[in-house]
Amino acid sequence: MTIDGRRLVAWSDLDERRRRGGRAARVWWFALGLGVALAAIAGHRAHWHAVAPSPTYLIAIALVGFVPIMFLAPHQLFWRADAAMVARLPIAGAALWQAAVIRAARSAALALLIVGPTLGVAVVGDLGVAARALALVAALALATVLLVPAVCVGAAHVVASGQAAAASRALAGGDAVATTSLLGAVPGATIAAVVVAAALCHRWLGDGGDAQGWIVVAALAGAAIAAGAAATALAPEVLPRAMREVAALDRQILAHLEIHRVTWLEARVRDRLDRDSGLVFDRMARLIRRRYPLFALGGAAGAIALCGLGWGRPDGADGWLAVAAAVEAWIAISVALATGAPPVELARATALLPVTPAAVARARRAIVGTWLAVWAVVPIAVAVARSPAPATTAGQLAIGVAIGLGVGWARRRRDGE
Amino acid sequence: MSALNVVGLTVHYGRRVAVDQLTLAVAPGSLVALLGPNGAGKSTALVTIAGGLRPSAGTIAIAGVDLSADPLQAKRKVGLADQPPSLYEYFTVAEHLEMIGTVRGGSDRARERALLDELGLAAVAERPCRELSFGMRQRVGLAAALVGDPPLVLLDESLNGLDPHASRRARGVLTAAVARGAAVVMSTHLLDVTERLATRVIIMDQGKIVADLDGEALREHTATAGALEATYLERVADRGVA
Repeated sequence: MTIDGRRLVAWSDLDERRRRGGRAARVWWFALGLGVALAAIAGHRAHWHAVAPSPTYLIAIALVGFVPIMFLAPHQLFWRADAAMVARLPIAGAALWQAAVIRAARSAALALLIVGPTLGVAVVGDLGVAARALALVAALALATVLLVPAVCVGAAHVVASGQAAAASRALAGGDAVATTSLLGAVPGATIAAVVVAAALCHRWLGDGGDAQGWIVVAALAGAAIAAGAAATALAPEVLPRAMREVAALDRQILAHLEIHRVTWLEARVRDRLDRDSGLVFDRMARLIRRRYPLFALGGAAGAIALCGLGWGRPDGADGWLAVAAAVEAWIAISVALATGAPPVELARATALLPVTPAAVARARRAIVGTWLAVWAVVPIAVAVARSPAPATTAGQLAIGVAIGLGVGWARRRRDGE
Repeated sequence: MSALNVVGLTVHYGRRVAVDQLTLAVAPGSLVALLGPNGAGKSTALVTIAGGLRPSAGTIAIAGVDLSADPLQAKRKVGLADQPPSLYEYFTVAEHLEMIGTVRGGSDRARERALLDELGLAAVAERPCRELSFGMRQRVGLAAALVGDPPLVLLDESLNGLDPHASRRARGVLTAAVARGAAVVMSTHLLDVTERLATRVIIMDQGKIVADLDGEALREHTATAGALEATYLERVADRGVA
C-alpha cells in the first residue's frame, strides 16, 4: 500500500486533535473574529460609507494575515514533533511534499478568514480596488501554499547535502557558520521579498493606473507555481534525505556542533541575573539562537522597518509602522512560547534540577525582555519620537501590537500551551 | 543473501568520529548483540543503518537493497526500536502499531494484536502511548520494530527497564522472530541477556569493532560464568567515562 500525503496529514491531525482537546476549532473562530474586527476598523475609517479601504490598509491586512502563516512553513515541514519518526519510516518524498502542501493550504485558508471580511468591505466600496486586492491576496495565498514550502525544501536540500557546509568552510574556514540557520534564513528572506512585492503594489491597488502592480502579482503567482512544480519534481529524491538530516539536528543528535557560547549582550544580561536564573538563561539563549534563527532575523527586519519608517516618515507611515509593530509583537509572543516548550525547555528535566520554577520564569522573562529591548522597544521609541503627532503614532503602534499579540495568542491556544 | 551488509561505515559528528570503518555482515536467523561502553558508537551505527543519519562513508545493504540507492525499499525491510522510542504520543498503542504496519506495507490487525498479546500489552492496547510507563513504552517500541515482520530488526537497548515477566516475554518474541528467519541486531549492556540470546556478540569501542565472537568462541564464553564479562573488560579500556 502506498502512503500518500492525505494519510500522513490524517495521522498527524488525529494526534494533534487529541493533544489540543476542544481547542482545535477555536483558532478558526478566532481568525474569523479578527477578520471581522479588522473589516469593522476599515468600515469605521470610511465613516461607514461605501468607500474602499486605503491601499495601505488592504496591504497591511493581507500581510497581517499571511506573513505569520508563512513563517510557520518550516515548522510544518521539518520542525514537527513527529519529524524524527516520519523521517525513519519508509515514506516516499512525494507523500511528504503532498502533506506539506495540504498543511500550507489549510494555513492559507486561515489567513483568508482574516483577510476576507476586509475584502468584502472593499467590494462594497469599489469593485476595481476589490478585484485588484483579490488578485494580490490570491498571489499571497499561492506564495503561502507553494513558494515558501518549496523554498524550505530547497534550503533543507542545500543543508542536508552538505553544500552549505562546504561553502561555509570555503568562505569562512572551519565550521564557523551554523549552516542550519539557512533553514530559517532562506525562507525568511523569501518572505521579506514577498512583503516588498506586496508593498510595490500600493499605487496600483489604489488607482489601477500603474501596470507594475499586475506585473508584480503575476510574477509572484508565477514564481509560486514554478517553485511548486520544481519542488514536486525534486521532492521524491530530496525530501526524505532533507527530513532525515533536519530531524537529526532537531533532536539535537548533532546540535552540539552548532551551539555556540552566549553573545556579549546575552552574557551581560546573564551576569545581572541571580545564579540559578543565569544558568537557565545561558542554556535557553544558546538553544533559542540555534533552534530559532528566524526570531533574530525577523526581529532585525522589523526593527529596520520601524526605524526606517519612523525616521523617514513617508506617506502612510503610521499604517506601515503598525504592521511592523504587529509583526514584532507576534514574534515576541513566539519567543515567549519557545522558551517554555521543547526542545528549548524540557520541563521534566528542569523539574529534577535544583532550580526553582521562579528562577526558570525569571530566565524566560529575561530572554523575552532582551529580545524586546533590542528589536522592538528602541525602534518603537524612535518612531514615536520622530512623529509629528506622537500620540496618534503611539496609538496606531498600540493597535498593531494588540493585533500581533492577538495572532500570537491564537497560536498559543492552537498549540494548547 | 545477508540480512545486513555494512562495508566501511563511517559516521562523523563534526570532527569526532562516532563510527569508524565498521564492516559487518549479518545472516538471516541470527541475533547479534552489540556491546560496548557509552559513546562507543552503537546507537549511531544502528540509527544510521535504519536510515536515520547520513553516513560519512561506506555502504549499507538491507536484505540486498542498497540504502543510499533505494532508501524507501530498504527502510521497508528494517524495523528500529530507538531510544527513547519514537511514538505518536496521543495515539493508542493499537493505532500506533497499525500506523507503522501500514507504512511498512500493510497493516495486519490480527498479527498486531497477537504481537501485543505476546509482549503483555493487550491490556493497554487502547491506551494512549503518553500514559505508558517506561517499560511499557520500551515494549511498544519493540512491537513497532517487529510489526510487518521485517527481515532486519534493530534494537537500541530495548530490553532495558523491563520487569522479569516483560523481559521473558520480550526474549520469547525475539527468539520467535529469529526462528522465522529475521536478523536481530541489538545494542545492550545486559550481559546475562546477551549470554542467553545471542548467536553472535560484537564488542565496539571508540567506533570500531574490538571483538567479534560467534560459533565455538561464543559457546566457550557463554559456557563459562563471567567469561563474556572478562573478555569485555579486557578488550575495552576503562576510561572513567560513564
